[in-house]
Amino acid sequence: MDENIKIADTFSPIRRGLLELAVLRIVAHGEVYAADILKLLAGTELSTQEGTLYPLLSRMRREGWLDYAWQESEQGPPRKYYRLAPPGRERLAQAQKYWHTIIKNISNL
Amino acid sequence: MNKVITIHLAGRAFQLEEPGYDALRRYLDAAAAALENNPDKDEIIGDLEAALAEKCQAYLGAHKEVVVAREVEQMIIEMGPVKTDTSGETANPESAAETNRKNKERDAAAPKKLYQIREGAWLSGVCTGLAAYFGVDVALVRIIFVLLTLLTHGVLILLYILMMVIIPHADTPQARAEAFGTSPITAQDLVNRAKEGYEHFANSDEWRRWRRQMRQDSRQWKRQWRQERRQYRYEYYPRRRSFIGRLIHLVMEIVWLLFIIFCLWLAYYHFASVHQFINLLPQWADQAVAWIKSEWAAHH
Repeated sequence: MDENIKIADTFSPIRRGLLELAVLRIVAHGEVYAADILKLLAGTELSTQEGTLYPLLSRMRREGWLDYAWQESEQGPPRKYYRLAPPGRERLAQAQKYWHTIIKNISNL
Repeated sequence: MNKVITIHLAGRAFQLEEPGYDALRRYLDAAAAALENNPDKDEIIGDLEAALAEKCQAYLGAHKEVVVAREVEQMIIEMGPVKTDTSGETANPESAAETNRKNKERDAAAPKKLYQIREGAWLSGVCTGLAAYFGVDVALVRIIFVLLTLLTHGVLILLYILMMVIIPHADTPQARAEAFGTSPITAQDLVNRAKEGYEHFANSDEWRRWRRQMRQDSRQWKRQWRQERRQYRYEYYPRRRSFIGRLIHLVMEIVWLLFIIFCLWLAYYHFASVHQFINLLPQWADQAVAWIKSEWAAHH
């Protein structure tokens, strides 16, 4: 158990970097709401919290990879639904290629 | 009874208990500070507020109109601290190990204070507080307490009552953290960091383990006590009793009284022998040392 935690600590910068790829992949499936992203990631090694996700989403939107549309919701105020913008698709392809290269490199050692 | 403060989040009004409002205020202030240089600061804060509004909504119902402090705390823990997103930019992310080390240093520097802890207490929480203060098991503290009470002819009971009156109860999150010496208290950032420190503590395995153990202990204790009380009621307050029944009952009560007197006598007798035993201890220790010395001399 302690060992697991230590390993998770070692990989925490990598997980942080991978979060962007994970969000790109989730958003690529269609329009999603921030809470849906959290729900999909919960229980995985990449699980995260609002405090981390919202600044990330805002940066990705600033980079032009994502955009969002307001949608009415039955309970509560309108919600932001994020979707992948064309530059985001390109970014996703690049990121995935790079990630696969890393996996290949590691498994070839 | 707590004062309620009405706030609005994402265009909706919510009623929060005052301590909950304070915690939320601190959380959002910390978020604003963390996002100081972020061009989307206002937008992110708005998003966070919308998320908080939904969490608040989940706690409310037809017959529940106020979000209590505990729920706000839970919400803040779920949200997690707002981190400036620096991945992809030149960043110096502090490694987890580094953070851990810093936390430990902070904990070591944090002053420990003696509090009474109600959680898992048998009487008032003096023993649980002492256990937290010295970092030992609460059972050990209780055993020592009982032994010392016997040895001091019950003087310790007076001390216990005194402590019950004097030592404050750890009723706020910050006090609870202080009781374990885990809170980061430095004069200048007390206000900003107290909340964060408590979160770190509330999430720590130490606190969780402690709380689980305490709950189990107190549950078991309560169960036993309830059982005994039920039995007592059953024996002593029957609805109807025949003459023979009453006679047996009387005899049993006399036997019971004699048994108590016997127990007291036994305790007194043993008390004397315990005294004798303790008085003899140094003598035995001297003998043991002398024997070891002679053995040592014989072999060398």
